[in-house]
Amino acid sequence: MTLKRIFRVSIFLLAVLAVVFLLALFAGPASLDVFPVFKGIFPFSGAHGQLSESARTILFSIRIPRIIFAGIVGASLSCSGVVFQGILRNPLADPYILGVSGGAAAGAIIAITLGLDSLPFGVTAVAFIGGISSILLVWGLAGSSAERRTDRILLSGVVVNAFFSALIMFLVAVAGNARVQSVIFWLMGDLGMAEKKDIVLGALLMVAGFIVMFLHARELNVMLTGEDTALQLGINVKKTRMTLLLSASLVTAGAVSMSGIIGFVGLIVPHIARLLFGSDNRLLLPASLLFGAAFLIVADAIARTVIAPSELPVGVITALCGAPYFAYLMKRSK
Amino acid sequence: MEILGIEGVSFQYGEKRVLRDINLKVRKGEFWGILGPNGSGKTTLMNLIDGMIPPREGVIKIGGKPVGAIKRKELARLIAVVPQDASLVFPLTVEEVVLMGRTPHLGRFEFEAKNDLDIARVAMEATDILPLAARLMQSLSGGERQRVLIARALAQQPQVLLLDEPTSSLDIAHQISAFDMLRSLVENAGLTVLAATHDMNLASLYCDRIALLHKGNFYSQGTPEEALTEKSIKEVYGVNVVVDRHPITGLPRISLIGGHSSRRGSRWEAGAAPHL
Repeated sequence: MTLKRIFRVSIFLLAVLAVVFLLALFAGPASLDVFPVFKGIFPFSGAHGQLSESARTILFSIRIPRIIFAGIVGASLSCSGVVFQGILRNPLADPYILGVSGGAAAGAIIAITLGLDSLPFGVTAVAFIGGISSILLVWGLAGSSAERRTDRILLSGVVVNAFFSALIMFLVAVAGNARVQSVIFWLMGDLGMAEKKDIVLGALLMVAGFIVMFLHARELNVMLTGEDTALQLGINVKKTRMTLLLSASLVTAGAVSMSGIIGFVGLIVPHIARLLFGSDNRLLLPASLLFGAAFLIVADAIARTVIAPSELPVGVITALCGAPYFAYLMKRSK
Repeated sequence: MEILGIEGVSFQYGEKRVLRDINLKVRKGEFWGILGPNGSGKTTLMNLIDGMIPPREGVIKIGGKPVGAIKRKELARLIAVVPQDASLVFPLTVEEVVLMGRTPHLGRFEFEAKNDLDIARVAMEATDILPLAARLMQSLSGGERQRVLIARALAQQPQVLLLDEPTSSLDIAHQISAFDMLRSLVENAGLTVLAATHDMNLASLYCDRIALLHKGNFYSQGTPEEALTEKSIKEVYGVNVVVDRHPITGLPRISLIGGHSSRRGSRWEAGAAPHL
């Protein structure tokens, strides 16, 4: 693996992301004309036409923030997925299946119930605590390294998910009717509630988490071949594992506390990226980051248009593609 | 020069004593075979030498330094371990796996440089897997995978190579080629090799020294002639064997006699068996 290859692949995927971004500008209940939109985004491009005031509002206050938001959430979930799969040495792992998203969502709802959402990072902080406790529970339940088999990890994820879903339902019931509708929508993964400060916080968490992950990518590569081997190759396995699990949980919590539970993104994206670019995490992490952003932007564009003028939560789209894909992977891995 | 010294080492799992008062001196460039029945402590000994577990008593020294006092990364430049098989959950190419051997030589911000690629190539040449470099590990046979793991260990450029039953999953042709390769690394590269194995005849043919583990202690150690005798094998394994000279090499040859249900009974009755 060379830096040159990582740059080449990243530039290619950035170009894909840019195309997806531009196309997604036109997805939504109100139709926008092509040339005025280009004129709006690239004021000096010489494109003809003028954006109306309402079109300008739709473009800059609704669509662009939402696309950026979708990109950040997709990127966050995807690179977390790479880390969870690598640490658990299980290609079926993903923040949703392992219960990390569920734990983070329960944490976020607890924070809202307690009124912590008035604090700057209140919701994300409690979501992080929920997320990290889920992954540690799964790790503990799945048993020691020799017996940490696929089925035990997935079963542990089921148990942890069941517990946190029940907790969420309980909290929703207690919270009272007025907020139930919005919370349930949020739980299915909803990108429509993005606020500027969410986007900034999410972007910061994603970038910080990604840098930590990328700096440990070579260690993670060696850990793919077994923890004893990694130790024998001079890696501080416990410290690396903890660092990576913490950063992946933090990045997941950031995504979940903004957008709710969006399943299977962290499963599908790393898997396709691995097929295209191989298992070396130094390439897989940046590739999944960019590809994950593009993937969720497309999924969200579909969610906004498929039953227009109303919208679906994007989690519905990702689960509709992701669950069959998961079933296919599970069947094939036997 | 003594490269590895085990001095008065004991180890126990809970109440169960696995090794007691083990002593061993390994000189640079020697090929040792560690033999002994299942449960005699071979794997524990290997884990102690590579620092995976600390001894209860005694000390293990590599190049004169106690293993416990050496940092994990530095230790990985002194000792390389060849496991029985690799975990193959994700698709990795042969070259990627061999290059992982360079891990203890690289800093956090470093990528493998040309020097590292060259070392990996030499290791793949030595183990005869260069043509497989771009193949996925999953597509290889057990014998080929074993060679990849040995190549990875060589890419670590260690002083000592530890192998835990390197040939247990190989057919005889691959067993011989694996031991041939280890022998030539000892002869040509001055590597020190310790291999835990069950195959007394292969050990006799290839090892300079043999240590025979019995209930957590060395029953005998020395040259194959010294360590592998009818008496020592009877005592350690509880099995009757015939030890004679290999007709071609002149080295000790161990022949099994078999238990009470083996076919020898009928032959004896027919008067066809040689006198024992």
